[in-house]
Amino acid sequence: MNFLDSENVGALPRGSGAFADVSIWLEEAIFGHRLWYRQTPWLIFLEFLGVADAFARKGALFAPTSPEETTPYDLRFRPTLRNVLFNNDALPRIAAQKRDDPSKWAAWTDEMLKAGAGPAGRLEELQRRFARFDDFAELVALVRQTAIEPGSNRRWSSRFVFPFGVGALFSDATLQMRRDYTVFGRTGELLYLMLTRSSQSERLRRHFETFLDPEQPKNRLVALLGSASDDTPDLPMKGEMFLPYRKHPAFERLASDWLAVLDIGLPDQDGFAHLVPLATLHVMLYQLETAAAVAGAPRPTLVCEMIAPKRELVRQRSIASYYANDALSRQALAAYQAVHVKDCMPNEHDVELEPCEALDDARDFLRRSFSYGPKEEHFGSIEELLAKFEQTAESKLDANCGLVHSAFGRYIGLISRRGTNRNRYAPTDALLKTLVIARVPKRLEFGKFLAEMFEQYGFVFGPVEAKIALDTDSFDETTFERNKERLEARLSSMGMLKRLSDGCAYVLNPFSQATR
Amino acid sequence: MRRSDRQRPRDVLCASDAWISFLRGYGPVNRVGSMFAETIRERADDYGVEPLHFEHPKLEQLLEALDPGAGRMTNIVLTGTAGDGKTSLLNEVWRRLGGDDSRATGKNRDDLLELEVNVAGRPCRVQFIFEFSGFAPSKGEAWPADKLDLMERFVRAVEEPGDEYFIIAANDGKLVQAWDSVPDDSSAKAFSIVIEDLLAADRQSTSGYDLLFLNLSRMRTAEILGHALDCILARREWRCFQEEAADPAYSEDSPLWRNYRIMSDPTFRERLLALADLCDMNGLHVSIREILLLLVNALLGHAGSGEHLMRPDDIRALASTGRAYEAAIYGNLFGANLPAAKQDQYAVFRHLATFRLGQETTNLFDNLLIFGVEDEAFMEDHKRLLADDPLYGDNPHFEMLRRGYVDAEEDRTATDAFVESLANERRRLFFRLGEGDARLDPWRLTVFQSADSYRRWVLAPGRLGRPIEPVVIKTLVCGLNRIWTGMLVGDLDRLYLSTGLDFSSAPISDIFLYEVPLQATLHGDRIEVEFREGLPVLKVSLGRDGRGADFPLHLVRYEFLTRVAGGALPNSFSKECNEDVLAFKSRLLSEYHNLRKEIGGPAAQLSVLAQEARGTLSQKHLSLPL
Repeated sequence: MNFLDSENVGALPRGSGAFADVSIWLEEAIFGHRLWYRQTPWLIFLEFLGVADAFARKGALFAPTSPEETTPYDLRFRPTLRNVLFNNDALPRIAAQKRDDPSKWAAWTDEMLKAGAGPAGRLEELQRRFARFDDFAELVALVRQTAIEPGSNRRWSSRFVFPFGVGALFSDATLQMRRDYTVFGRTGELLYLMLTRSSQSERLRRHFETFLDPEQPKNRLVALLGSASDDTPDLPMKGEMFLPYRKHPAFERLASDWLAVLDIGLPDQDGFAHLVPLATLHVMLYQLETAAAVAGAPRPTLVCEMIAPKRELVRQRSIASYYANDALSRQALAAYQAVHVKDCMPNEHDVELEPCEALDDARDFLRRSFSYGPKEEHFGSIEELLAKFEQTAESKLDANCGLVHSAFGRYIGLISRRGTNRNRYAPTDALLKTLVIARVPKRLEFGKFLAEMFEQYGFVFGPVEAKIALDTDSFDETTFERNKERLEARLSSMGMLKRLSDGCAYVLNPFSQATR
Repeated sequence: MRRSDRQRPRDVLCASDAWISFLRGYGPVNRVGSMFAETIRERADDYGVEPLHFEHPKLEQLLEALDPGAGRMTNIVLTGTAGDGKTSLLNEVWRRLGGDDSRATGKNRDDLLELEVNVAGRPCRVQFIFEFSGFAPSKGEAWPADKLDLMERFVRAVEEPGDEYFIIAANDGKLVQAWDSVPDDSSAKAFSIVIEDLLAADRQSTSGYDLLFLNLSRMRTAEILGHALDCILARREWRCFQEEAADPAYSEDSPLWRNYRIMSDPTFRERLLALADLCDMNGLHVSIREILLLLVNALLGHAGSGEHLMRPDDIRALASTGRAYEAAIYGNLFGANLPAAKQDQYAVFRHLATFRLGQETTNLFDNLLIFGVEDEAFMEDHKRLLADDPLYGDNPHFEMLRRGYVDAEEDRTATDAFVESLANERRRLFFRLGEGDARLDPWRLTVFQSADSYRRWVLAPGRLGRPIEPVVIKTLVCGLNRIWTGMLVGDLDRLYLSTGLDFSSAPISDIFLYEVPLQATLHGDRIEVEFREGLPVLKVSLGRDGRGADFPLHLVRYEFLTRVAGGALPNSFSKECNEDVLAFKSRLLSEYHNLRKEIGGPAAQLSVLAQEARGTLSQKHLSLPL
């Protein structure tokens, strides 16, 4: 099945607020609402967990979804927890004072009320849970250490902690605890929808049910720092998330990678370290693959350079491969417009219509189908209107969707400029480790591992895959042979490859008990 | 040119020169196919010299399994690295089972031959596949019906023994790849999982299958080296040193004579075998062919000769001009006579290079080498360890460079030459130092500074079946504690299992989970070093059922943990080992969590580890459930 077949592609109901909110509904129709290039991998994941938690509360965790249904759901602000964690500068000072516990609690409550973290009843709740003020201070310090992206200079209401469990999940907010979208840009919603539409959603549900169980030890711990009222789902989301495809090979690949990681059974949430980059990787690949299909190009391949001490030809191939892929979303936009906009526009030369009527019809068509209502009142012709439409669509793409590939690739350590001033695919050690954990159940012969990397992600490392992916002019056996050898050496130095003899090497999953 | 028409080396060279020239063919020279089992007989005839030969270390095991007279017969798959002697071994088995001499003489080089064998009165057919890589279809090609049939018969023979047996020599990569290309509907297909399992898990057999699966890459390098040394040194051709001492090539001025003398020296031999043993302990294997290559290069290597290996006339030239030191064995052993790219071609030089012998040093050793001649503080050691060496103690080239260095001449090229020459002097020193003097520990000249303690306190007792001293385990546990907690703790009496609040591998893991005392407890928790197939394994057991996790103690890991315990993080191999040690933690924590879940019971209290003065760890108990 081609995922672009009309029965596989759904449209957002035009009554949805999402449609009205955008300046032009075009890239959203192709990729969904929405890909947000500034959303970092951890924030995508946190947003996803929030959505999953909300659906779990409705008893619909990973239940099937369809493009036409825009289900509302509710998130939480958890104001007490967030104040305690991130708006609580006085705590270490008070904890260090030599006074008795009741006066410490009193001093602390005062400070918190001044900072607007009331009402007092919620703070007293906390006090009742801790036998000693120091225990409280110690726990706050421990949990704060796990802040996600602590280096970023954000206001306290946009800071997050490691997702220990439901008790640690909350939405982005303004300082007044109002809704805000700057950090959660809906890519986490897309991630959730992708997983619900994979054939593995049932197995995923079982894994995440465990995680969302409030009785998980670490969740109980972090829950001590919130008030009972924190659990109120006080942030209604209207249901403006949209993913056009009912099925998509990228959804299946994402789900199989996630399950592979979850099935290893790493302690607690250790697996998250790999789910996070894998999610971002697959969202990025989803965009590339979809764009290529819309533009009529084959599934993209990504030539990866294993960084060499000196300049190698594979670097040129990797740079070329990067720039070819980077142009895909723009090509997709043009191809999509050709089919869905230009061909469907009311015809200016329609004899039945007055020219101004035709122009009005065209404006109406663009408003109805693409939510496009330019501020300018006067257009001389349909061509002029269309040119403006295209220009708007392109600037919008350049400001966000066209940046997803490079931004996401950099976030996860796939794209690098090291040693050059141009982007290329050069995966970091951490990403390689994640890929091994996702694709190697116990062990995998090195040649098969390379084939698997190609099949699953389109990654090209060695000559066999390069020969398939590249045209004969760009293919050079020895270059890719050396690239492959460097990958082998890197994996080996990370303890993830065992060479049995000159003819045979196995890639090993470091966490599988049976490999050692 | 027909073979009989050309002039053969034996006709133009004197016997000793023919021997040296023949021997040279085992070295790192570009002569296609020179020393392969298939062609060696021919070359040997040309030179009038018998090939180097010693009994293959695995022959005995093979003949044990194949004794048709006693009714013993099985299927055999031999795999290994090129040069491990698969083909020679199979030729020998062919002969012993009654095959003709066409294999040994190289007349018959077919990939597949059949032999009728009488197994205790029962007539059986034995299919020999001498070279599976030649037999199986090339990558991407389909299996021809007759060969596929043979493979299906092989699988049948292994699964239900009958009157047909198979003996196969195969490169393991080819074996895996060829089995992948067996069509899915073939009855042989399912066997690929068995092969992968045998290969990757390093096993010789698997229950339910009549098969002996020998991976020659698992032979001990030290064992091969011992055989090879004996074989080369015992050759009667070396009588040339007595009988032709008037010829400079075989005189006492000859680098060959000197290198031969050193190679025969027991101290040298022991040190060289120790290096090979430690290669084994790092999981690095060297094939038989490359061991011979190493020894021949050691005897004949010389950077200035053609192909960097001396011919008889090169030896004469060096001997008559007093430049024997140019071809000294110490540099040759590490391939210093070869260009870097050439060294890199051979596993043996790559593996030996991991010791960084020649690059690593200590102040004491370098003072000894550089200032020992003049400085009274070092003079005595210098004389004993370096100057009194009758063979290579006198090296005017090094002396000139050394003087230049000491007099601080600002000549860059001379500095490079000095560094190179100094590396070879360090290597000479390494082989001349004795054991047991901590001040002059030869292993300090390698990157594995703890090699002496590894050999003395881990390998030696382990191989005798004796327990490892608790103090050794204590040091290892100190290293583990430091990496696992991320805190600079001292020698403690227990191993801490801790985690970060977010990740168990958090750089600072200060949430206490469990502790395993060094003294075994009544619950069965214990930390010990076991020996498994010759390799020490650090084993942490939780509870009585032997649950827990293992950490094979390769030398490099032992070195890493020892150095971390000593307070230094070695850059050269820290990354690999750090990952390994963290994965070990992850496996142990998984077991801990599993056990905890099985046991149930009330939640533990949250306890935070903090580092105290003098490297102890304190636990701060919070009255909160974890």
